[in-house]
Amino acid sequence: MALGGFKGSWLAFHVGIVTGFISTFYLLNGLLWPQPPGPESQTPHPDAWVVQHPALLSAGHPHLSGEVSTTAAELYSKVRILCWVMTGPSNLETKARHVQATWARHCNVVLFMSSVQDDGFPAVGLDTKEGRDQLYWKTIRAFQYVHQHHLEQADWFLKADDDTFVVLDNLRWLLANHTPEEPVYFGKRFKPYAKQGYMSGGAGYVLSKEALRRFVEGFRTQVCSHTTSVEDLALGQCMEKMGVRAGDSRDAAGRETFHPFGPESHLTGKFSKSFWYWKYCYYPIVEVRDRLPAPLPWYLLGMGASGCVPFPSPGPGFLGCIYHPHPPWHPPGVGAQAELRTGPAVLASPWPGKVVPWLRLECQVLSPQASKTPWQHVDLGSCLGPCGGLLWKGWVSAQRWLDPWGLW
Amino acid sequence: MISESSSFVKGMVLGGLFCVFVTLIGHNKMGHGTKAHHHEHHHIQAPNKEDVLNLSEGERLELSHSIRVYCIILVKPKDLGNWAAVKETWSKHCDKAEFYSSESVKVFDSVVLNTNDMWMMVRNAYKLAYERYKDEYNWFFLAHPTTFAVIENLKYFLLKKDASQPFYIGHTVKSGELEYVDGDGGIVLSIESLKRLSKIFEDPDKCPEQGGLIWKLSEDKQLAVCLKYTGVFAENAEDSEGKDVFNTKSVGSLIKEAMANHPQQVVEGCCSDMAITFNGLAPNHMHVMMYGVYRLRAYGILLPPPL
Repeated sequence: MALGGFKGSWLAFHVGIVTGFISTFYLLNGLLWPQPPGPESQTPHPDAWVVQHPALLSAGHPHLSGEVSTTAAELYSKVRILCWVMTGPSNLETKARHVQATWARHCNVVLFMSSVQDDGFPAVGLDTKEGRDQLYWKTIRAFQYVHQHHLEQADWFLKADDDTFVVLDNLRWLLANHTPEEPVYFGKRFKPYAKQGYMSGGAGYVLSKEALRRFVEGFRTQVCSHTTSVEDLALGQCMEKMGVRAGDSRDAAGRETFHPFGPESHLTGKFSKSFWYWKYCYYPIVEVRDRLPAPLPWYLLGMGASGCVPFPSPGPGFLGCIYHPHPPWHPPGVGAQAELRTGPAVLASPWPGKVVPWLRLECQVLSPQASKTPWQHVDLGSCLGPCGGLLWKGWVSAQRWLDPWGLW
Repeated sequence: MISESSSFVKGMVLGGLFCVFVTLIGHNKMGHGTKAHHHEHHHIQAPNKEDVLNLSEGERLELSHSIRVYCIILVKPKDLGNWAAVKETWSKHCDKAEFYSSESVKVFDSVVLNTNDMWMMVRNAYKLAYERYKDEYNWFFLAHPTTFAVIENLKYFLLKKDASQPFYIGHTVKSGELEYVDGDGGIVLSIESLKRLSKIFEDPDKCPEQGGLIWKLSEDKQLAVCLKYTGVFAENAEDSEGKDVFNTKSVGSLIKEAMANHPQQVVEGCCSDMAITFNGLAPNHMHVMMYGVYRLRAYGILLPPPL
């Protein structure tokens, strides 16, 4: 009897040790080392989509910790935008994937439109072929698809290419002053071939809900048809027939917000005078760039664009750079006025070592919100028309060349 | 029965104590391991966001006004395109920026050094800068014309650092025993470091004009050697997440690397949110950077108030 009792308590003792060890182990792990917040919780989760095959719905307005984005979040829920991205099977991984990973996260809903369905990406199959001549077919089918399946999920419907970059928050700011019941569409406005002009396809364009309804109706009643494969022009002509207004997307300072080229071209490029772009722009272009000094002549030009909305063709590396959120800038209010003054400047003279003191015109935008933009130089040449412009440039050059003789 | 249950309880207590004992030992071992690793490199961090927010408005203003940055950009005639771009863009944000050129150039004003040798250019530039500006500026930033810098982020980084202490900050590289700041990412010296450097320039043994007996050392290594003799060591600048703030590559290259290495977190992972420099930018890209850093904004998003 004593032996049995001893054996029993010996067993109990050892079972106790094991139980004690295991239970303490789990106790310690649970209490003492709560999981530290990983870096993933601070940055927007890459899989923050609600997949409603094949559409991707954004789970909420993406933001970083430490950001106060209440205004942006409010706009996100008030101005709902459905983005559809024109792409193709060969571009899904090389281009569309990067759109999906970056700016498209800021759309309320995003759809990738391809000729062939792809469940993995996901991409909608429009049942067309690929190629530039299919662009209008794809556009028509894409808008019809969106109208059929997603009309109630958004107020505005944006078309973008897979090499376009869009700052959605700024697009919402633009559209906040309009209602989706207005028959209007916005983009980079071109003037030829259509009375009210049309929107450049490459720069992206956005239709109100009413505009989308009328577009689809136009095809149903055959008022609109596939007239040409030039997608943007054809759409513009259909819009005109259906009474949809071509809107003015410029900011209060008159600067474009939709751009058909990349930021490098718009900021630093010098387009030749025979370049088609000059003739196509509906609104006057103000060129930005100073160029290298002598031996090339100076062009003192001013006014860059800001608050830009989309621009295409930057390449995947640049997409990442612009996407990074930045500190605030106060947009000028509606109804801003401009004031001109003369300011000091110097011109590099073609004569070595000489600098010509010069007066230049500067422009300041005053807004009702009392936030003035910095003084920016105005190129009078662009306002005076081609002849006036030439005369002006001649005057400027003459100043430079004749300065050493003290004629001025 | 009672004896069995009491044995069980005794066993449990013993088992529990044993577990705690083992865990503590394991924890200590890990702690020592990481500590030993840190001593090999010098790291210096950006100020804590909380520390900065705890400062009063007046203190913050005073601090930001006390940081005066003098920018030295070393140029040669072949860099004219980049020179123009730097002149028009980020250098305007320095308290004062001057271009130190190897030879005189018609189009731009510069401090002419009359030498083509990079180490001599660095030496003479620092010497001149110290002589002329030692009482006016307390931080000295040296850059190349292919570098893009965000001076506001540099000032934020230096906010709680005492310029009368010897600082030599940038993107550091280890070459054997020598840890030096890579000139491509920009070099930051406090006034104290510059003072010591000026003194050691007089010593031809420790800091010769002709670097290295057999082969020439690069100028950034030379600088590190000279500074080391004065007791000033290179420190790698990082943000609170450990990301480098001085970059020797361009944003494009860093993004490409991020796409290859961690494709799920490209933009979030590639670079610091408060990066100070990028290198390898063409003149046009500098203008695009200016637009992106200072002008383009996403409407409706506010970040914490500026300094």
